[in-house]
Order: sequence, then structure tokens, then C-alpha cells
Amino acid sequence: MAAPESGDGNNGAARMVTLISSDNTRFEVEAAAASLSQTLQLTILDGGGGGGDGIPLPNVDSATLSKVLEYCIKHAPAAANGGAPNATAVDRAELERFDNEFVNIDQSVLYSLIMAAHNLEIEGLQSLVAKKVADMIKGKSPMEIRRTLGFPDPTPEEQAEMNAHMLEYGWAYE
Amino acid sequence: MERPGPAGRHLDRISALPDELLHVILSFLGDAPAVTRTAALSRRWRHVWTGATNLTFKDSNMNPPMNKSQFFAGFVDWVLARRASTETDMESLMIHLTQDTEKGRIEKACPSPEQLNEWLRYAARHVTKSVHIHLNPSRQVVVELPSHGRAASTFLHLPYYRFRFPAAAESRYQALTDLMLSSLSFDEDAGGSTLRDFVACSCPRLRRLLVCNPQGLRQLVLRSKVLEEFTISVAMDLQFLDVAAPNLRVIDLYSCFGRLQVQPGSNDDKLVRIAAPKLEKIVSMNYFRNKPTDLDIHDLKSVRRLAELKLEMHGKYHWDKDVSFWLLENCPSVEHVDAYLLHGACTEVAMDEQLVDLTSQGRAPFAKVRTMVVRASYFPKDHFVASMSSLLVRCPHLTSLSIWIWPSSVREKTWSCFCDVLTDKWQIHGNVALESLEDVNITGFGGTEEEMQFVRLLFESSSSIKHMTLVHAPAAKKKEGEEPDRKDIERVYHELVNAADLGSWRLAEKTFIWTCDATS
Repeated sequence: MAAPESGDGNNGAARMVTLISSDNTRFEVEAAAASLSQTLQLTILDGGGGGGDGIPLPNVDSATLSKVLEYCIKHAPAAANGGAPNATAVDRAELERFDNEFVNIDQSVLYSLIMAAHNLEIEGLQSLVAKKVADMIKGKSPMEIRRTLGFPDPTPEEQAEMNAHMLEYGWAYE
Repeated sequence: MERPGPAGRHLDRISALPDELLHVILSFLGDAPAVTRTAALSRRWRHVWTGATNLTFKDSNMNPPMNKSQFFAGFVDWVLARRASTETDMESLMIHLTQDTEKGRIEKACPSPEQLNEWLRYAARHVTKSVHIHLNPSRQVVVELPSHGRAASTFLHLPYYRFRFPAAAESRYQALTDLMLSSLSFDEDAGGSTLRDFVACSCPRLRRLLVCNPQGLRQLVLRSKVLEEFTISVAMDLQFLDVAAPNLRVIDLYSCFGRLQVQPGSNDDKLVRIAAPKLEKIVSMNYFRNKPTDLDIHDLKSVRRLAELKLEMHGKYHWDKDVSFWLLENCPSVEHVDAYLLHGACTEVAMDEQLVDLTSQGRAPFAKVRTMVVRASYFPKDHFVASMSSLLVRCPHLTSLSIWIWPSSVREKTWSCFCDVLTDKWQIHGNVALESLEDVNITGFGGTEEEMQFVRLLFESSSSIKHMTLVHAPAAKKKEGEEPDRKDIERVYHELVNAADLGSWRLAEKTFIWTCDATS
């Protein structure tokens, strides 16, 4: 199923691939960046995504995909170095600064991102978001976590169930 | 029906994530009480945590009374039991108990033998990456390593616990690459399987082995085709070490053989036999007795790096039986040396020991040494330049030299030492020639007369230096947090500038940086 012309892209300019979001927006991106996704890497190695075809991503909307690609483009050079054992301290510090900024976003975007990272198998991004969410939970009581994560107020029934649960297991949550 | 409460504008989207992703999030939480606490969030979250893949139980992270041992162990049991019903694997399990050790309470601070052994069995069945168990001392408890394990890395710090290996024929730790055993008591007299059997028969992938402070380990024989790094430290009961490992790259032996009975006439017995044709790095090799004739190492020709050597120098002199110098003299391929420069107080010269002059005529240089790190600590006044110049005269091809001078390491008043009577010990060697030297770093530079003298010596010995960086530290020990003395820094700076030749000094904060003039 591979487009015949897309098989060899390593002469001169970087090979580009096209990704199509669930709302039909097309994103053109370097194959090296898209390949941070294990899923896409397989498709691309198969010759997919080149020419006019594009790779449809029915589970990722354009807002999320553009954010995902921002991450991939930034991290692609380091990933190409095999986890960048030779990266300088400056490069690493710059990536860390980028990562910190990158996850400083609305929670709903975080959850869309982690779903996309999961579906596309981008381990670095999945870990980055998971760590951010874990940091939001750290050191908080259950009620504080509920507030932080924007849980709706418990229904009386739910509250009663929680109270019963706490009576039984509260000792373990101190 | 979800009601968007005042703070509910996110509509609790996190709860819509699949369990698998919530487990990933919880794995970054790690801390077991924080993980289990999520059960109280809502009905959706009640059982999510039981699939969490990283759990850390650390008493120092817990609030009273959970950090008290009896609660602590009960909590671990409860969590593991709840998890067990899910039959899911874990990546890592850490159980770290350190507190509650005030006098008389040591025994109480431990889980029961049944609890501990059940934790080990649980870890062996379920943990795939890292098992870490660190408990307080206990002398009675017998610990049995389960016959099979799945983890890649296992760390056990169980002081004085009587440790039993599984019967070798039935035991398999297929994935184990890193094993660290700290302070265990090796119950050698009980018969049964030994560390040797375990490594040789049960661990086909073991790359790194660390044995620290073993109790009752008198003999250690290691045979492994895959072992790459081996560290043994503070093995006081050890009497004999025999390692044959064709893939061994690094050996680190530190402070062993402390209780060895030295029998006159038996000095030819080897304490250490190492057969490792690919050995690249030797670390420390410092132990009680310290005699090269104790060592039988094949092959020293492949060794490229010597680390944590203890160079005991009295000016240009050292003992003929000093293992560190013996290694320097006998490892012809060494390119990197990382050493402590010391001057022990020693009043008597033993009958069978002799002093050697490191700089005596006709001795071959350490020809391949390119980089050297010296940690100068604890030495009397006037010792530094004499010792360093004697060392450097043997290293003509050095390209990079780093020196760490410990604050207050120079003693104004010397203690009495046999070397007091040697009149030429502080003689500074005049023939230092370092024509490949490019980079010099000195940290802890106080600008004392000796240190200035050393800097001058380097410039006189070498015209190839490109960069020299000296990080200032006050010569007299300062209190923590005290501001560095700007006046002192400026004094040192002016002194350096006045002596500068062929290049220029600049001062950045408390660092003096010299660069060679580009014209040359």
C-alpha cells in the first residue's frame, strides 16, 4: 500500500509526511519528528504518509495534534542521537525548560495530550504529562485533589459512600 | 449526570482516562500512601490504585503513626494484599525503613520474619524492574531469597539478617542484571547454597554485582561469563577473593580483609585472584595490609583507568609495598588516573618495608597517562608541591589535570612522622616537563604560598597550557553561608596577574580563568 515515490526520502531535503487530524486538518511535518511516535514510525517505515496520501489520525483533533507535533519537533534532534548521550548540558537544560513550559497548560489539554501520546505511543510525551498530573496530586488530601482536578461536588449518596470508605480505610490514607 | 460545580469547569476529565493511563500517572506518584489515598476520590477511583506499577514505602515520607514500624509493616501487607487480587505486575517496589532506631527499639522497628519473607516472595513474583528493600538491623531473622525472581535489579540492605540463597539447581533469576547486597550476614556455616552458586547458576544476565559490608563472608569465589562490574567493600571477614570473569570491565575493592590474621611465613598466600582479560578499570584496591604480593591480577595490560587510588606520599617518597603505586607502575596502558593525595602519620618504618623515591633516575614514565584528577586532602604544610611535582615528573604526556584541594586540608602543624628525618623530602623536582598539558582546573584554590608556587611550576613546566581555571576557596575554613572574602579574592587575583606570562587572567565571581594568548 506504500506510495512508490515515498520510499526513498534521504537524498537532500528532509523527508516530509502529512498527518490528518480527526477534523480533517492536514499537518506537514518532518518524518524524523513524526517518528517519535512508535505507531507513526512503523507506518512511515512502510512508506506511508508521503506524497498526497497523508496518514489519518481519527482519534486526535487538530488542536491536540498541533501541540503533539510541537513536542515532537522540539525533541526530534535529541531522539535522533539515540537519547542524546552526547547532548551538552545546555541542550538538556533547554529541553527541560521547554518541557516545563509545554505542560504549563489547561488541564483539559493535558488529558487530550496524554490520550494522544498513549494512542500514538510517544513515550516521552506520555511520561511528561503523567508526571505533571502526578505533581498536581502530590501532597494533597482527597478533598484537595478533588478540587484541584475539578471533580464535581459529590452527590449526597456519593458523599455517604466516601465517608463509609474512609471509616474503613482512612487509616491507610493518612 | 455531572454537575459542573464552581471549580468543576474541567468536568473531571481525568476520570474519563482509561485505567492504563491512570496507572501511568500513579506510577509517577510512587509514594504508596499518596497512591492508595486516590481510592478516596470517588467511586471511579476506588480500585484504580491497585493497578499502580511503582510503589514506594518510605517511613521518612509518612506521618505518625504510619511511620512507626508496626503500622508501617501492616500498611505494606495491606497494600500488597489488595494488589495481589489484581494479579498485575509491578515495575518497582521500594520498602525503606530507617527511623525508630533509638536504643532498645531496634528489634521493634523491623517487620516480622514472616512479613519480610512474604514481601520478598511477592516481589519475586510480581516485580519486573526494581526491588529495593532497606530495613533496620536485626540479628535473629533468617531471610530466604525466593527460588525465582523476575526483576532486573535487586537491592537488599538487611543489616545482620541471616541470608539464605535458594538451592542453585532449582533457582532462576533470568532477568537480573544488577544485584546489590548490603550488610547481610552470609550464613556460611549453615551449608546450603552460596553467593558463588547463585551467581554462577541462577543469574545468566548479571552485569553488576555489589557486595557491601557482608558479615561472615570468609571466601568469595565468583565465576561468571557475563559479569561486567564487581564491587566489594568493607568485607572485614573476607580472607580470600577469587574472581574469574571473562567480561569483567570494572573491579572495585575497598576496605576488605580487616579481620585477617596475619600469620608469619604465610605472606606468599594470595588474598585476591582476578582473572579478567577485559578489565578496564580498577577502583580503590585499598584494603588492610595493602601488599602487592597479595594480589594476582590477570591481566593488568588491559587496564585503562585507575580510580580512587590512595597515593600515600611523603614528598617524593612512597612505600615500596603500596598497592596504589604498584598499580601505577604495573598497568602500562593506563590513560586516566583519579587519586587521593595523602600523607598519613606514620612514626615507624616496618622491618620489611622500604621507601622508594618516585623520581629516581631511569624510571620509566607513566607514558600513557593523559588525564589526572587529584584530590588533595589532609596533608602537612610544604607537602603539596613536593609531592605533586614528583608525581607529575612521571607523567610527561598529561593533557588535562584537575585538582581538588579540600578546605582546611593543609595542616599548619605537622605531626611527627618517620619522614621528619628525611632532609630532602620537600625538595621540589626541577625536571617536570608537561609539554602536552592543555587544561588545568584547581578547585579549592586559596592562593596560599604553596598553591601559587604550584601554579608557577605548571607554567614553567609547560608552554602548551591553553586554559587554567582556579576556583577560589578561602584558605581558612569558613562558616557555611558566609560570604567569600572579596578582598582575599582580589589579592589572589592581583598576585596571579602580576605573575602572568603569555596569557591573561580574568576574574568571574570567585573563579580565576587564564587563557593563552591567541597569537602563539
